[in-house]
Amino acid sequence: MFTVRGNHSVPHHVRAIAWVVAVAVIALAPTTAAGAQDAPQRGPIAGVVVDAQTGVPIGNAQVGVPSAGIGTTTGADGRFRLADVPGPRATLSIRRFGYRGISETVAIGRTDLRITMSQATRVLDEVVITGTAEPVERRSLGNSVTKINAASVQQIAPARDISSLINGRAPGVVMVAGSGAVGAGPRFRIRGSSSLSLSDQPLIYIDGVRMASDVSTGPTTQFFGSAVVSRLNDLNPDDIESIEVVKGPAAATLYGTEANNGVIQIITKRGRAGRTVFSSDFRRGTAWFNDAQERIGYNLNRDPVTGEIKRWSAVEQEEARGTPLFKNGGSQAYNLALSGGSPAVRYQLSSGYENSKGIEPTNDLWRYTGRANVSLAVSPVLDVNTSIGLTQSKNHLPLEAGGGMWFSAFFGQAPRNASETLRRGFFSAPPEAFWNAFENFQRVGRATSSITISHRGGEIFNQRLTAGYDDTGEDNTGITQRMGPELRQFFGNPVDQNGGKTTRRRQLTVGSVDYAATLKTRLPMGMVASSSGGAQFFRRNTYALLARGEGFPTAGLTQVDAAATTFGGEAFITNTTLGFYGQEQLSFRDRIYLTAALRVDNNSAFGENASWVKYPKLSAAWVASDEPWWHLTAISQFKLRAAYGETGQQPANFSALRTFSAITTGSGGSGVTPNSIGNADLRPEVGKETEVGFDASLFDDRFGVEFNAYRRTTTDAILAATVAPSSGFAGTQFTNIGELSTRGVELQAHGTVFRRGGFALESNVNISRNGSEIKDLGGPAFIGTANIRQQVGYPVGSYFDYRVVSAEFNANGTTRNAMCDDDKGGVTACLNATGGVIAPRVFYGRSDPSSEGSFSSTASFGQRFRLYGLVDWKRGHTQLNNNARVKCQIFRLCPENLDPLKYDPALIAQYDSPNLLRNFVYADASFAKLRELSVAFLLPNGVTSRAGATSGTLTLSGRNLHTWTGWTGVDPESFFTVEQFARTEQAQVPPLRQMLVSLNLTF
Amino acid sequence: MPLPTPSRLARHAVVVATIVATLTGCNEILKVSAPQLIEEASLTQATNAPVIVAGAVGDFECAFASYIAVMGTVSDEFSDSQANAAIWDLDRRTNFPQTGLYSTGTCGGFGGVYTPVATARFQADNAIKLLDGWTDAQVDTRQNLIARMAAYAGYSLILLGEGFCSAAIDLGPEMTPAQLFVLAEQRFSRTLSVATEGATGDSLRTLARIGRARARTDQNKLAEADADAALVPANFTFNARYSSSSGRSENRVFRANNTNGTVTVDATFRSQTVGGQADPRVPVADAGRGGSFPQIRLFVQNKYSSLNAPIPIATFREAILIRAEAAAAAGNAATAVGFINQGRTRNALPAYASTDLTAIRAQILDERRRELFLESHRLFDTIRFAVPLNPAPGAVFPVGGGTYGDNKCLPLPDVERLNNPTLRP
Repeated sequence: MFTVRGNHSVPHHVRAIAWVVAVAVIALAPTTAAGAQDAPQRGPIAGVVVDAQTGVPIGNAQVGVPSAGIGTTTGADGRFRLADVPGPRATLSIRRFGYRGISETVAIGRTDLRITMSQATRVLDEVVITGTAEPVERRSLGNSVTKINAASVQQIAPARDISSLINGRAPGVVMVAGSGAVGAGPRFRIRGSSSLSLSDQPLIYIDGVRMASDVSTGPTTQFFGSAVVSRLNDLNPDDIESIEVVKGPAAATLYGTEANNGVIQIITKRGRAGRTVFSSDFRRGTAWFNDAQERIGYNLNRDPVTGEIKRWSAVEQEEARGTPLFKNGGSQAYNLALSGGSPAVRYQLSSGYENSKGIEPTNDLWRYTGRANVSLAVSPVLDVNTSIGLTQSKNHLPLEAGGGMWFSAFFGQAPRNASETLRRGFFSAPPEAFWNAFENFQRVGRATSSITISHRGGEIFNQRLTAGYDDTGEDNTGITQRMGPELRQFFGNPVDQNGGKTTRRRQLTVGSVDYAATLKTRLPMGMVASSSGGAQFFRRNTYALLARGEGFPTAGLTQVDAAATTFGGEAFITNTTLGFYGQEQLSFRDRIYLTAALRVDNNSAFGENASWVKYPKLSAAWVASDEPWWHLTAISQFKLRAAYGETGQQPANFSALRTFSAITTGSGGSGVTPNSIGNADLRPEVGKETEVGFDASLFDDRFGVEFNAYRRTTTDAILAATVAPSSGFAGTQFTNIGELSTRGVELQAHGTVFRRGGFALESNVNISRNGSEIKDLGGPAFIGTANIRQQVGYPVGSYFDYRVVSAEFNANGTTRNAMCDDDKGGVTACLNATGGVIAPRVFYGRSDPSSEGSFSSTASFGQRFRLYGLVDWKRGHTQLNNNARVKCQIFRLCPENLDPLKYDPALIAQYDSPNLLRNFVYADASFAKLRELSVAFLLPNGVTSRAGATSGTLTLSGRNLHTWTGWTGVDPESFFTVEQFARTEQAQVPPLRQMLVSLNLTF
Repeated sequence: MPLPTPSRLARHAVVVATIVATLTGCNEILKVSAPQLIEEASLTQATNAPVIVAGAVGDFECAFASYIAVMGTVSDEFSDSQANAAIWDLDRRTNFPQTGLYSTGTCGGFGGVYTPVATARFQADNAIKLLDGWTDAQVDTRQNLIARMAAYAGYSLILLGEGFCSAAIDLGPEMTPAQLFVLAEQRFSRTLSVATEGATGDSLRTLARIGRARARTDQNKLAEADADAALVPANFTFNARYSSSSGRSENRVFRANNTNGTVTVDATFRSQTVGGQADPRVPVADAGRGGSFPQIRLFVQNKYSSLNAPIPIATFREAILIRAEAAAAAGNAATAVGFINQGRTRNALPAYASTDLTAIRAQILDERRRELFLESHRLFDTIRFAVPLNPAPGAVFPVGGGTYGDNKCLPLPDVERLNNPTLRP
């Protein structure tokens, strides 16, 4: 059953923002009305053409009065002017590729026209560049490519990071969050889990070159080895034009090894020829932990003297003493962009600054970004596109999950003695002690550059060379101040008390070289052959340096060299991939397209007994609506398609080698210890996918529909098989012994639902379902000794644990005779006489959602107001509520602990067990969220012109505004980010509710 | 522009083919290096014998300290004083085959014991195998290196046998403690047979004699144990050495107790006296603060004074207590008491007197508990002497949830049973 989390309290500053917006709207209203004037008999018509959904000016639109033979095109700022138009009225015709053409009758003399155009949903005309040898129209593709118009999204509901841009906008692409801390970034999983042991992250490209997109980086602030930062969020979302997603082997074959998890291609904005356009964007916002007290809950204990039951809430207590536990996190962001140029030289220069603060003092982020994209038309047949992106940032992160203020606040209790009173009931220290003692941050400097040289030999021969380099320097630092008595009273560990610093520097570089050539040949019977070939080379280096110092002799020292004892470490890891491909495409009268391709790859991580790997691809597309016999006028475009393709996933670096590593012995000398057992036969995993689907444009191009059904099999699946310690080696051995399959369907539909007069409603819906099943594990029925198990016949990464079904109470409230599910339809004793578990683990559910989707709508009122909302949902997955486990089973702070006889003995039996029985922590984590809601007001010319601007938009937007869920934890999107399968919520920063005011001006 | 003719096509194809062929020739660029890793092939050279042996010693030292800290918690030397529920299994004696910490944990943290000891055993035996394959001409002091490795292998096997209900080596079958002790004896015998004359060889021989005496005691072959122990010179000590230069080379007992407060000295080892006189063999103090779990008072051992403090592997002190035990078993009460009092005299403690063999045997257990405090003996002593578990199984575990279990030895972990091809069900 779903419950609704309401917005019970709106902070003062939010009300203030809403008030400012309201006042602005009222103040501007008279100006809006001032546009009407009497029309002369002959005169000019001028105005601006904008996108109906986003309000973005549309350049290169053809505007004319056909009856008078007068016409022009709009500039990059969307503006046009027609002089000397005969009147008193004229019918304007506006046309632009990608938009539905319109005609509008206007009075002569109007120079403040604002004409909105709706995007045409002619799905087959769109050009995509990802997963193909050269840019092509969708009509020729046998596979699906999802395209997100990032620039439009930023206009409607500005996102703070790339993750928010992607979430909910590409069916089959699931964002796996983790922490709501400012700076934290999620993982992405496309079409479910395709690997049992290797990375599940897609390849990320930016402007044709690979970029490091590591997740769970930064200092380990969630404890248990979990860090929260994603490198993907180094990018400024305002620099992005569009994002293309290819989701599996059928579409990603040309990317070869490493593409088994799909590919995300980020395309940055480029300048358009025309006058220089200067645009600016100013944002102020706030974020807060809504309903914090209610969601964290109360902890109960019994006064040891009086026996009275006491209730404790960190949030309530700190609010009462005037030191609120959480503050409102303010944010500000400024983006400036300059674009324009001539047909020969075009440029897009931009810079951005963001400063965001979290809800506690130890969480903030500042980030500068800069980008320079230059396009040169060197000759009619040669283009050169360059881009350089820079990022500098510093991100302070809070300690959460297993320690820090969050753990202390979640699991404290009413003080029972002097030391607990000193801590105000917090588990190990009051919040200010953590905030003053510990500092964790990541400092990043990043430069990503690319150059693409495109040579067009007319219609017959095109070739392209792309090269790029992504260089990221991370300093991940943790500092503990040398403590004075005010802190030593809470932190007894001498290492903590004496202070110290650890800095882990990582230098990540990714070099890319990508060459592609396509040759077209006309063949008999109306056929055209496109022959493509290409080669790609990638090299990724990771250089890691550790500096650690323990024991600052005096307070205030913050450098490793100032510490009494220093340690160091250094490592270098490199990986290279070299691949070649050839592709042949035959088109029959631009209606039927057959494509065959072969990719051949080698990778430095393959075992010495494995070498070149081949990945084939076959696809077919049939544009049935172009057939002469097609008379379904309601369906203006319809394409059927089918594709089969293979890709790979490389083993972890050096995992094929048997290695030892150096150690320091107790005598201070050097020695060696077993490191990795290795596997000389290690090969890449191979993903084989069949995808079928269709694309259609409906009802005079008002709606577009895309449907996919796919089935993917991963063979040679690599298992990180645990090594028996008696071998002398520890850890895991990567071995190709598994097979798994995933299957699913995806539906995306978008279009104009309703349009009349000044009102338009445009909607978009994404729905996907995904299922996975492990087919073979090379012998064993399952792998895994903990509660996440890979078991034949079950979904990848399923939960298996003991299930207590009954128990009996003893008189004192303890339990006996706990009976568990025997996984055969009956019951069996859970424990043996010595307390060991003898019952089998049973299936609890899958960790990945079985379905997800989103629904968004934009309602346009007149020419100036837009209301936008996006709801996304995930269903069918199970998570662990470890808050309940820690609170009730470990620290015994729940009502059931105080009066067990009132509760189900099967639950109390779990609490009584030595943390072995815990079915109470598993729960369905399905949810739906009102993720985005915004209202935008397009400023009248009278207002923008006062600022010298040609157009402007004022937007008020909110994020994470409501959650519908049956999940009883704090939030179904909070968990350890490091976990590939398990989802464990424990005292993390939840996704925060956010409000943002944005002012965008174009000059 | 018209589409191309076949001849133009061929021209373009040549261009493409040339580019592809050029890149194909660049297979060299796939080669990468791993400068921080040591590949087995480059390591196993005779010139690397000293570093291989040093690695085996280092692994044993790391495992040994971890074993003492962990098994001291499983027995009654330490009790838990931290809030991580996964670690509570040790003190609560609820370690089951599926329990991860004791089985897969490393010796650089707290809790790992099966894997570190198994690694140490492999390292020593592997070094012997490599040394056996080389010649004295290739490796300096090869015989003493073999002797050293055999002794460390023997001690690793003792730890496996004393601490675990069963274990496996080299992916072989499940072995009982008795079988492991037999193997340990064999290793010590190898040391005795190959150690050369001279100070180093003498030291290794004495180490092996005490080790073999311990293995024989574990098998209740006390007369044979006495024969070995009798040859141990007075005041002999062979230490595992520790250094604060890295986590795994630290004295992990000091780290877990004195530094991190992960464990606190159990109440039964605090304020120990003999005849009203403080027992210097069990130096324990109130740290004046809470442990890692602030609600639990921290009591620290002062036997090891720093992260650099060495830990004895074999001592004359142990040898005379083995002799005492053997004498008591042979019915020679006076001799047994004499050995007990040798230890007491060394610590200026009042002499012990008794003629009751049962009492003497109980006193030997108590003397071992004090004399060998935090030296790796206590757990198996509680097994050999059938010491009742305290708190009793079923008692509420005061640190967190659950009740005390009845682990004495730790079970063969699933990580071995499910992944060892000989054992896999």
